[in-house]
Amino acid sequence: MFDRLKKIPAGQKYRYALIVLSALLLLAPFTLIPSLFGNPDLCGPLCMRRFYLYFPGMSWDDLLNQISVAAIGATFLLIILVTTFFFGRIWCAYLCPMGGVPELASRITGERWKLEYRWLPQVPIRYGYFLTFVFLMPMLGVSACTLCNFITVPRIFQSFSGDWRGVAFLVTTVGMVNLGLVLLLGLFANKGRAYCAFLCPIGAIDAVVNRLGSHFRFTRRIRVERNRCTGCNECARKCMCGAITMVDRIAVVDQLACMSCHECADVCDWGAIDWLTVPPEIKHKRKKKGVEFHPLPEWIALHKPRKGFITTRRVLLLILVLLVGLLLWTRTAGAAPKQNDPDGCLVCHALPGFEFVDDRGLRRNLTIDRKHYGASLHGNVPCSDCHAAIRRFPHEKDKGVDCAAECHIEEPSEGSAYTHKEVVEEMKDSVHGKGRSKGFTGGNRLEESEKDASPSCRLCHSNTGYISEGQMPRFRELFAHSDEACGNCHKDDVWRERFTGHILRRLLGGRWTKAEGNAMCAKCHADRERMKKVKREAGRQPPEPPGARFLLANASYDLTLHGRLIAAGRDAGASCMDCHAPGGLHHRIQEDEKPGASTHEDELGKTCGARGCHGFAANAMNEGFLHTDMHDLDLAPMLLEARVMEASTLPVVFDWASAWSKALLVLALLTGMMLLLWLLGGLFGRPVKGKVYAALGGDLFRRRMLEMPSRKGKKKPASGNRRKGK
Amino acid sequence: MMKSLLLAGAMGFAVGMVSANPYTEAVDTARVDDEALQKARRQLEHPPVEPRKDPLFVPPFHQRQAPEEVPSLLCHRCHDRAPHRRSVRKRAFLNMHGNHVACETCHWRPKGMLLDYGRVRVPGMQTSAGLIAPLVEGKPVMTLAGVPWARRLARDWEQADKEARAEIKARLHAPLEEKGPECMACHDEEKGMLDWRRLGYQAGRIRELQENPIARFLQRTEPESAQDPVVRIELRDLLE
Repeated sequence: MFDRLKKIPAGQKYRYALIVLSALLLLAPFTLIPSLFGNPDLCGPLCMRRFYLYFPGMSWDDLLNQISVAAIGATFLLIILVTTFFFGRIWCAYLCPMGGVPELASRITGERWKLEYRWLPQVPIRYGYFLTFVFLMPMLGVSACTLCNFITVPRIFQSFSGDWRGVAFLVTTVGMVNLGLVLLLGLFANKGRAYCAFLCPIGAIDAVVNRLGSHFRFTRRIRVERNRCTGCNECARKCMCGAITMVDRIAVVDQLACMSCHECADVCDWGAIDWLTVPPEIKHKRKKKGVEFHPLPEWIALHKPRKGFITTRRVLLLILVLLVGLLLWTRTAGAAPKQNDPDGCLVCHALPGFEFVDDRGLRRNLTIDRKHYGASLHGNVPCSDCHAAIRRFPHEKDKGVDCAAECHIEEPSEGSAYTHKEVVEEMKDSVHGKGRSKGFTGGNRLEESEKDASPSCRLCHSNTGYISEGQMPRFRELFAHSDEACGNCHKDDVWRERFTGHILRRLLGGRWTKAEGNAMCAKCHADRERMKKVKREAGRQPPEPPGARFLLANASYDLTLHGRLIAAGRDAGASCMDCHAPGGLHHRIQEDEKPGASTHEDELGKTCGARGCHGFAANAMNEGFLHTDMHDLDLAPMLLEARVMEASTLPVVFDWASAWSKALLVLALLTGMMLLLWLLGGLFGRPVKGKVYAALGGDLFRRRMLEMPSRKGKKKPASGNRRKGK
Repeated sequence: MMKSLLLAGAMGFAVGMVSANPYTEAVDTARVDDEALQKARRQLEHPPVEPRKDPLFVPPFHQRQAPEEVPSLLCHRCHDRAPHRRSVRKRAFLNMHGNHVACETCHWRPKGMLLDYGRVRVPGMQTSAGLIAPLVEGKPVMTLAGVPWARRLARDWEQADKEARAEIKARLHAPLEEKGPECMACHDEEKGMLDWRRLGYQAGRIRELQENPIARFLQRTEPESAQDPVVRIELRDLLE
């Protein structure tokens, strides 16, 4: 082992050390650099690889938006490109841990039982994939993150260091596919840089800059002195990117592939290849006739003779660029402004301070905060869907909003017209059935406040009702985030509104804390004066005034363990809703006496045993437990601690019908085979003397890159070659 | 920007210092006739319903903007920040002007006096640019609630009986006009009452104000007779 370490050229030792250092700085568990920017990994604002994605119909604003989302990554990429222009691809070779770590892993595990990719033509594969990445994948709705090693390698390290994010990612189908890619193109690839050479989009951009920069004399590049090259092909064999080809027994550097890792210079015995700028030409002032000077070295980065500045290729390229620019410009110019107010109501109703005091002294604020309304639960419902009767100005006396009416919003999953009809029907079936569900106007809020005993829809659900006030900042933050993050791929506003808006609202709204839910019930039920006006009807003829048990329901509940747990912010306790409306749309709250009510004595076993709470409740032996009074007017006795461990489920998505799963299957097979080959080869393969070539593809590499004869048909070990004549 | 801020600051300072202005002088010297006194008495007998202060039990469905701060003007001692109530068509539109325009701008238009309009900063008000108020010889005519004259008036009002109050009320309103100018008096492409540019508006905003579709619509659909103030127009007319 020490022999192998000693054999590493000194320059390369430093390079490996730098890669390790950079991995320590950038990857888990330390992630020092990402955490400088408050990020746990290299995604989000640090992402360097997806802000240049093109979406059909994208405007310059969208591009700026994408850049601003990943501002740090974009800046970083710019810095990388500038250094590349002057010094070659320093980032790729010396710093990038996403390429470096697989490379080191591959180097550690030897060269023989590996895949050889270096003979493959890089330009068509790399730029074909790059175009797919930039244009096709966004169009098809495949996220740029799905084949990203910037997401995979950090996640691998995260999962090693015990971070749930890493584990969670790696057990998804996409994560497994990525892992397979990292293994096949990294660990099992000879020199481990196949991902960099073929798939990395940063590498693709960087390569172009590298190639352009190598035209100049003042840029540092790997350059060849043709006169000194002996054609020993040592550099080409060692080049991890497959950038060096032997052409007529002289090393030729492909500046699109070259990473300036310097290894070729380290291994060249003749100083024929080096990483340098072109030294200034020395003009001799006095030169004797007929005296031969030793020829000055001529360092060449680009091996094709340079033609004139204007070439056919360049003209074609320019035309292409202009055409794309024109396309983008026309797209931008024709982009229609967003319209979320089809009836023009906000022409007036968005005016600030738009209010009046009506004849009963009720202040009627008519201003709709456009931004807030847009982010609210009903943000995508046009005004006239609810205020259907308003047709004229000044507005006719409105019949009011009917919550059970159908509106023009499509229900997100089915696309049918949206309505709250089912909730309203469930509500009608409950004790609160007499509450208003229609006829809501701004004007009758006063009557409703003062006269109605039963709660109306809008008493509990104001437009921010589903998402509590406490969650509102978080909702806005996430909504803006999803707008930015999802919006980069899903350009379609309707899609975004339907899915991110809807799902986000549901997810966040659904996470109303139980304490907040209880507070909503307590708004009325803790108000004893209000409760005294209630008539209790079920099973009672005539209706009875409420008893003490009902009046003090809220207070007595607060003393139970359930109430106390929730008051302490622990959602393990059962809230009002958990027992009184556990099923359906959570509006069917019924009196205990009514058969079928969730708190009816016949149903208690089911209700208490639901949701993994008291699973034992339905057992016939638990009659006593079931009748524990949750609204005991005496102090409630301390019950069993109702702590429920919340099982965390891993986001495993393994759907065999999906393309990702199929890809995973193929990759798993390949990776498995490779692993097998590697293990078996390592265990049983015969040792090889001399130069080692990869088992798969090594021969092609020899022929195409090194101009060496094929070894096929010769009775030599598959991956070794012996010196001629021995 | 800096210049206008300095100017506004200086103006605000001036308002604080100078308590007397042509309006207060006119109030002091006003002679109240019987008709005005009758009207004041009548209005004091039947005051409009006080705006409710406590929030209702049922919250408003639409999340509204937080109310703007009430500027500490003399008028707001009695009038609500949304004082216009009668015209169903215009009341809300008029009320929103209170955030930008001092009451005097519309309701104090003495005849034979050369009026100019400028921005006046009101202490405690968020709008940094200040309210638009009439200027006489460069001095703003806008009475803050805190100036000595207004404080004296408030003291008098507290001590006054019903009859004296009617007199004070009539006197206060004597220099004022009940009906302000029409919308198009300012929102007109031709030179209106206000010189928008000098008030510090940007060119685009000026065009919005001058070619305001709401003002035009209200003007166009002005009811013909005063007996029928409510003329309902199909909303699509608003979209022109």
